[in-house]
Amino acid sequence: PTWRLWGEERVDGAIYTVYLKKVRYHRPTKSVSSDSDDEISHLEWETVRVRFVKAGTLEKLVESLATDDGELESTYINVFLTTYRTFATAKQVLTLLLDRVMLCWRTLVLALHVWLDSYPEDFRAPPTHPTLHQLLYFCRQHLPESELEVKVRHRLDRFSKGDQMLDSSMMYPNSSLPSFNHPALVNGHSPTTVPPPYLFPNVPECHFAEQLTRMDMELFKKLVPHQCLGAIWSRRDKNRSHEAATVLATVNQFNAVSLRVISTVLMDPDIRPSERAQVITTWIDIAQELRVLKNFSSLKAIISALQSNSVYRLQRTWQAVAREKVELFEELARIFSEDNNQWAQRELLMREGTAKFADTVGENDRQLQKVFQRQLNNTGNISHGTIPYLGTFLTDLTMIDTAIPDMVADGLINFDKRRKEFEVLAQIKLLQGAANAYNLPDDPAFDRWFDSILVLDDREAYELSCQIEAPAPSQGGGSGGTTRELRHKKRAGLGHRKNDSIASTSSSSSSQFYCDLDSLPSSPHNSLDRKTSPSQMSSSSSSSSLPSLDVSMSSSNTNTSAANSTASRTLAVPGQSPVSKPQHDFYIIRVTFETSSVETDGIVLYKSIMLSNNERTPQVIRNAMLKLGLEGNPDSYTLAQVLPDKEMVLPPNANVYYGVNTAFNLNFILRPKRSNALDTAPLNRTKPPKKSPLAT
Amino acid sequence: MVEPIFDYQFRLILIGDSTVGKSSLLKYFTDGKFAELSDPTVGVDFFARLIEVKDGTRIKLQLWDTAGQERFRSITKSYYRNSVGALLVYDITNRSSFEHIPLWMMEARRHIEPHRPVFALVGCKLDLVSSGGRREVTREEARAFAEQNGMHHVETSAKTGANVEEAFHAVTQEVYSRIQTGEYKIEDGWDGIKTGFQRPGGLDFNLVEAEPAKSTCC
Repeated sequence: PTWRLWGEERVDGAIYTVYLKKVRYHRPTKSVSSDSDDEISHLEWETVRVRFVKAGTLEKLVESLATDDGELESTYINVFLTTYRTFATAKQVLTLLLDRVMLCWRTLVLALHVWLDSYPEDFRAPPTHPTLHQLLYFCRQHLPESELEVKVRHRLDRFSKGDQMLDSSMMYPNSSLPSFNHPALVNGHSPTTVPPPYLFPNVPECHFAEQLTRMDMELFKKLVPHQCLGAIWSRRDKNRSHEAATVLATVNQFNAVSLRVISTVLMDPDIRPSERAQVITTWIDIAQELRVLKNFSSLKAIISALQSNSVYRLQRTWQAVAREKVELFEELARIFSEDNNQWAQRELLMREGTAKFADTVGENDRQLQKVFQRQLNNTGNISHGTIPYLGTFLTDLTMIDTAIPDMVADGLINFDKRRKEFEVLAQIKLLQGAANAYNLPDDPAFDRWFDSILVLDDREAYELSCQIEAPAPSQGGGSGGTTRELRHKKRAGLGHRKNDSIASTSSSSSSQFYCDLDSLPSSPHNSLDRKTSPSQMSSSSSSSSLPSLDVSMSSSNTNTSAANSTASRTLAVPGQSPVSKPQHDFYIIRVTFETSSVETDGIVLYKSIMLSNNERTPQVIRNAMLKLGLEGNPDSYTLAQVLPDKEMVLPPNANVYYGVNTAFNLNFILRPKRSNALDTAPLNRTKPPKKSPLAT
Repeated sequence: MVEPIFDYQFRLILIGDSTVGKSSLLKYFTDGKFAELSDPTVGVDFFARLIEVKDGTRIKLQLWDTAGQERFRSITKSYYRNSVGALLVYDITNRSSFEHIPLWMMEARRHIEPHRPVFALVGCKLDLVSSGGRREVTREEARAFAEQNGMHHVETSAKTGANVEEAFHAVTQEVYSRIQTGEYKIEDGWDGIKTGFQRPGGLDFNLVEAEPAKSTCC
């Protein structure tokens, strides 16, 4: 149909944009209506008016949900229900809607049905669910025994049952929570690690890609599109940030994949470049399979990880990767090129979003052409869903939110903005529907592998990376001409890693800062330069998730940052000590947490932390607690190294670095002291504390 | 759209925590043209504006922003590498956004190597402070950090427009100076700086020649 802009129409409390739409009639087929000769067969088309709500008061917008104005565009209710949370609550809308019973019963009831079917969560407000009760009361009064009333009662029932289940699961915290949240020990004694069923990089690439896709798919299906809205996800409204939980889950999974790629590449500093290249190659192969599966989320996570500084800078490793694999990697990376507003990726989503399988290649994508050729030959009737990289949508929605005002003149709600947002959300919904096409089996062994991979924070990753390949002498200005030579790598035997740190700072694993080796000042006596050294920032309080910037502002001789109990930790400014003398060694140790409850599925979750040579037991416990997401007093925990036949409990104030038994794996167990056991039940697991102190 | 004449094209990125006001800054600088471009299928994070440096040379600024994606570990090498400068953006009323600046700076610096990027430290939401809101980052400490790292510092408001021009101009002028001193050169395969004589390839359909914003908006 052809649309023509007619103009704007204003009524009290609303502005409409009016279009004229040419509608062509199809000639009715003779066979169907044989004896209706007098029908309007001569009429080929007619023009109808269609009104779009451009802006309006809340009352008017709600009223439009239930008018019998046939001229209102048909997607209005969808746009409204998808986006109204940016300007009203469910209760407000329902109250206004039920006030307008005089309008049109048929459309009102229809709107309520659509709302309840599409967004049941809007009505959940435990424990009493007042909004739902309000609706139930309305039905009993006006529509007793109607389909709507049955539906409302049914919903209330399900909510109440759900609440009960939730209650009981609070009492038995382990019964319904996914096991990977709980580091568990076999029978609570003599913990042993179940050997991971997969040993990277010797893994089935296709299967790994499928399993990553399964994980992404589950999260993507659960994604609530309106949580992506700029006003909600971008937390312009900070009080509502919790409303973006399903988006956050997607982001977390993306980052989890990315971090695992990085750590598998870096984890063993002592392997040969060709062995490390094999790790990278396997990830490229998995990425290729993800492309075939049209899983752009994990695909981008892998590409981003391989392009992260710690991995990308390993020139000798990359030189050992086969040329066609590097080519394949570059072709895959091009999908996410930022050029022309990520045109490549958008185009792919358009073409393949709801298609059965992937088949789009650029003319320069030689390797991918081969891949798709193989796919075409091998599988007859494949059908895949699509998982988009959500970030693109989030940026679009953020931009829309920034660019377009919430209100227009006269204080009317700018509904055109919501329509624009709806267009993006509708795309997401479409892809969510398509994701049902995936048919992927569960593999608990894969989940165990995924959980078993240690994750490095940025600083750890960079330090490991620099240990694998020394940073090149700084190129730009600012850092002077002195070349910092890499120290010789000292090999430590016995199956654990003993690292010569090039510039290991204190080992607070919570710090995201890492030493900026490349641009450290040349002269240790140049205090101005030293003040600028970001390495100083890493010395700040380990109890915060991020160091305070104040450290860098304080002059170097009055470094007051060690305000916590770790005053003994020294700050390593590499320029200050003779280059040849390695003094800041560290181990990477793995720590698990013993819960008071016993789980028997044999899963032990270890987290890696760095252990430097000046750290004593309380500090190590504190680091471990941070990494494991535990809160509380470090004094109420003990730390023990897990040895094959026993455990070695570390004394309360030992230097852990020198105390550990390096003849065995550096696996540790953190457990609450017995008297406090009840206080530290798993329910206390929380996110690391948020940093908020003001320095002023 | 007629391709406006320019002598150089610089590519700049805006980086910083979420909600610090990157996209608002960009919106103000591109003078509302942003709104018309906010159709995702046309291009939202791909903005451009022409400005002049002191000697009258015309520079096309290409501005990149990935607002909304800050919490993904997803910003790729090419995103950083193909830029010549970065605006490090923080929120004056949000201390942690300032504390993360060194992180963003280091990340950018490492990725942009071997090129030495031009940075500017840009505080946002000055209007909130002026209207009685709580300042969590003092002008002095921000200035001190900027000086230590050899970068320009400015506090802006995308609401009133205060200093927004200055923020972008400072970076542009510095990049241009480095071209003149020979530190920066145009290189094949690097999109940080391009000359205006080559016609930019591809679908360069989003160029907006905006006037400096004059009035306050929304």
